[in-house]
Amino acid sequence: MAPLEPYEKIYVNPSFIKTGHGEIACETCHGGNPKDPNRQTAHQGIVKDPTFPDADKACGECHENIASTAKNSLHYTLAPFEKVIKARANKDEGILEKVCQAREKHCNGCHASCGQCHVSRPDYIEGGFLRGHLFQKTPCMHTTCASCHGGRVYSEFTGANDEYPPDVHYASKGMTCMDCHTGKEMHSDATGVATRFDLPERPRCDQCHPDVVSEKPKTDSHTIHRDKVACQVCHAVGYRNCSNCHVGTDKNGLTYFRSGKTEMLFKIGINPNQTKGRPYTYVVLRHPPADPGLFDFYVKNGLGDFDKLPTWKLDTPHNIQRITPQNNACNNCHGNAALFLLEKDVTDWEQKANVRGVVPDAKIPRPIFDRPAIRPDDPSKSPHPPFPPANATYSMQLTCYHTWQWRAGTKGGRGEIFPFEIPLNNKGFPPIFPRSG
Amino acid sequence: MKNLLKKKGYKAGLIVVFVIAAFLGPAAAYAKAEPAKSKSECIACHTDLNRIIRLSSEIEQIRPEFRRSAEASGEG
Repeated sequence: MAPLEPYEKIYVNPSFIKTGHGEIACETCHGGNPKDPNRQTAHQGIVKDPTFPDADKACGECHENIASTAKNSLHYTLAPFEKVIKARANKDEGILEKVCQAREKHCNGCHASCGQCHVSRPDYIEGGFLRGHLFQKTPCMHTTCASCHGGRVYSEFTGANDEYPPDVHYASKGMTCMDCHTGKEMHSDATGVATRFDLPERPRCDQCHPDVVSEKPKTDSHTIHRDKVACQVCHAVGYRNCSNCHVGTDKNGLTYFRSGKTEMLFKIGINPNQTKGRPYTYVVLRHPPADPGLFDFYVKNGLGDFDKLPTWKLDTPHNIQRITPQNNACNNCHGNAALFLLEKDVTDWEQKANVRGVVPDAKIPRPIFDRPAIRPDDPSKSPHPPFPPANATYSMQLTCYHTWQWRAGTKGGRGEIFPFEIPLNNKGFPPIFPRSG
Repeated sequence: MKNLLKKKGYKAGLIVVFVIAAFLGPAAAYAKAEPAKSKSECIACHTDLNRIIRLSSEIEQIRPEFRRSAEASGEG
């Protein structure tokens, strides 16, 4: 995202005056003295962002319904931050107070207001008008969303992470953040919401793909995995994981963040919080920049109850693909322990926090080959040529959802694949081939 | 007076005056609003591209540089 020139940040497009918002006198929202020709005295008492902290004040005059809930939205309050940090914080009053001060100083600066989405870029990147102060009903994701979500989500969505493709919704359909994250969600009241995944207005895949959760999904894989596996487990690819974070203030009074290396990983874990809306056993887990020593600069043992919450957290990577490395063959996932969050993937100091998310050996899905081999009694009767050579040793394997393959060849050789499609019976096997035991 | 009102020409004149006044009223109010806008120094300055470029570069030179701590590090 290109930085703005200094003049671009404050230049008002003359056409703004002709818009509805341009009918309102500048000083009504921003204060200052519009009759004073002296730049310095005219700007005395100026309010740069009249929409924060009180959304009702400027916007609520006309957009009462939106402002009344937006002021309690996730972007305004960052309420889950407070909940998470308080849950992990040392409960000693003196220590807790210092933790809260540090949180206020380092974490709460990332909020966004009405103005920081619809009029200017967020304060987090020093603001500047989006389009000459012309109000943007739907902000541009490349400037507005990317300003704060550029590190992980935006990079995933647009394919900025090397070797990882962009999200199919973006690359093939040209969709933007706002196509899923609508104004209804952005402006909704998040009071009492523990995480962003608990917001009732959050987007859901089935809103556009209702077949997936219907009684009879068109795809066998959806019939088999529905309610057991979150969509992202099969359809997302590798995403960025952070290892730690420490905050402090340097000798010049400037705040700083220090984080460790990031790593592109894909980890499937056990859903630590099954709900009616998220009943899955398996979900994708991401490691955020969490560390028990986060606030050590301000107070030792500030996060004394760090283990209360997992450090591998439920996540929904934004790089959805129809075909992914883990779903293009059953056994790419079944029996592939490397895809799952195992005890060895979790550092010693995180073991206790992640007890519920780590996948025990017994919960790693067994390879499909573990089932009795499927062999045709008489391949010549099969209506699905081509057949493997008569003298070949062969096996059949399920590779994709409708496609079975013959792998045939001489002993020790690589063999040859003979793909064909065949209707499956209600047990997931080709009806013409009996199972051999 | 009664005789005066009975005269057709006088009645028509009154109607014409009333109609003109009805149209002139809002127009006068609009004429008042326009100068108010153009008198705003905010609008005059912030919509003048040349002026805003010159002023913003002047401000940029005297404004303390936005500094990030040298101790910040990492990829996250």
